[in-house]
Amino acid sequence: MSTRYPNRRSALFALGALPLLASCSGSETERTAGNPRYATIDQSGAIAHGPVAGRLPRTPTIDEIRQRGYLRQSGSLTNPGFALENVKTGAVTGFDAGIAQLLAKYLLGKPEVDTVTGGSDTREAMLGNHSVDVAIGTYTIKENRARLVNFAGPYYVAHSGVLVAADNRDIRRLSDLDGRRVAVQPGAAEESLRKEVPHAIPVLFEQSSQNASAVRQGRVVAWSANTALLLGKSVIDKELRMTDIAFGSSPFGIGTPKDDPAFKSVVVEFLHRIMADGTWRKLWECTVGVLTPGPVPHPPRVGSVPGS
Amino acid sequence: MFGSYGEDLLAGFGETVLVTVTAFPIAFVIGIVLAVFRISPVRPLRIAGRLYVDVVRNSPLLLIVVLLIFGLPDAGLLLPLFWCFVLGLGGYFGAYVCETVCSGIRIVDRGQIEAARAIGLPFRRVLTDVLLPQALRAMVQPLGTILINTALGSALGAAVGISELTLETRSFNLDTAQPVLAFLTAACGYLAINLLVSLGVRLLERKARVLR
Repeated sequence: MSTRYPNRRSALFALGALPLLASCSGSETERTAGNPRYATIDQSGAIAHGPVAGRLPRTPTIDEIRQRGYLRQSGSLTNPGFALENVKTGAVTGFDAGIAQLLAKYLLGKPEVDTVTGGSDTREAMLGNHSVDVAIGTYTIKENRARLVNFAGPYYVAHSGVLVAADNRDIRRLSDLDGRRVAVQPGAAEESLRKEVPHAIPVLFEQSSQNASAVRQGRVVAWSANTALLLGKSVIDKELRMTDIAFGSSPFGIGTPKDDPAFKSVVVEFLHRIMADGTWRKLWECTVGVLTPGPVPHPPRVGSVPGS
Repeated sequence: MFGSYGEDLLAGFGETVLVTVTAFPIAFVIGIVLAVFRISPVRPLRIAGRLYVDVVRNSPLLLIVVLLIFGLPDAGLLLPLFWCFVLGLGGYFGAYVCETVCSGIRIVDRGQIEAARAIGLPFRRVLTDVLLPQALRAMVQPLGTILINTALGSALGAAVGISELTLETRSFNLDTAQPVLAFLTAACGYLAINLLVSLGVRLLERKARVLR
């Protein structure tokens, strides 16, 4: 203490700033540890069920992963239901996190994953220069991107929903969003909104908790994101209400380096395996299924969308 | 090369300029007021000035902006997003302006202030006629640096829903998957703003020197 603060007065000023910092980190813990629904998401059962590949072909990417001893992927750590890091335990839970761990287990025999959180700006660049082996994390398969990366998938198809304040009765159908401010997170949800509701005014906040606050405080009329995430929020927050509106479909794929097509075939084979042996179903049940009611959907057909 | 995105990118550039030219005057005014607090003969004002600078300057800019955007509405004040952000930027860089002004004032010889007092000038006149005209001249260069930092700091708006250059660049990249082209374009935008600022500062400095 004495080395960092040269005198007692500055130490006092530093103490004064603490409440500011505390009020910020508070939302972080609330989102993970203090949130009962998200806390029950645990995909370890599905990972234990996951297959391990027999003999694998040698490709540059697989050689590198084996040499390193773990899978390095680009993804998120703050996306409830898909990939959310528990700040207390360090465990990453959710559907996308599970797919990454299953792929690591398939390739290496152990689910060791290192996640690089570059956001949606850098995925193509990081795959291109081999900073990461794969990109798994609400990565929508698009033909524009397929010029730069090889997509294995889709392994999940997300639909966008609309969340409003509990007392809001104005938003009944998609066209009601025209000309109004709608909160979205950058990435898949943003693309879907821009494409399907071009007359809405998107307001971009990075954290899901910020989007929820913006709706609660009336800064925006609605928040659009994938239905699993919104359902999870509306269950724990009585000030927010899920509407029946659903639109768009975002096929999520696993991005792999463009210059290693043999590796893509291995990942495609991996997806076929986990979809056929029931691992995919188990993973869905203990991640997205915790947030979404209803029966387990059929897994999408791999290679069924343009760009995959 | 940019297709239909050129218009969005240009609008983003305009927003960045708008945020910068709105936030900097706010920072300037806050900084001057704080500096006057810091050198004023009234002890509570000195303490308030010191407290503001130490708390604000030692907090990350993003934290301050997020507190203004999501904290103020909970206190019952819902300002438009743009003004929350501009106030955050202005308040933050105001602390830096204050430090710059204070060090500018320190270069004015103590004897001049004593002489001003001796001929009976009140504190206000000491400030406006003796201290600030000399201090401001020495501050042109560091203030230019703060202006540049304000322009660069405005990129944080992308994280909190301000449709400025960085956010439009990210949307462009999201759709076209051309990260290198996208971010090089953004970099050129910021470079253009900041080269212009540097040029302005140089001209202003030359002018100030002639006046001396």
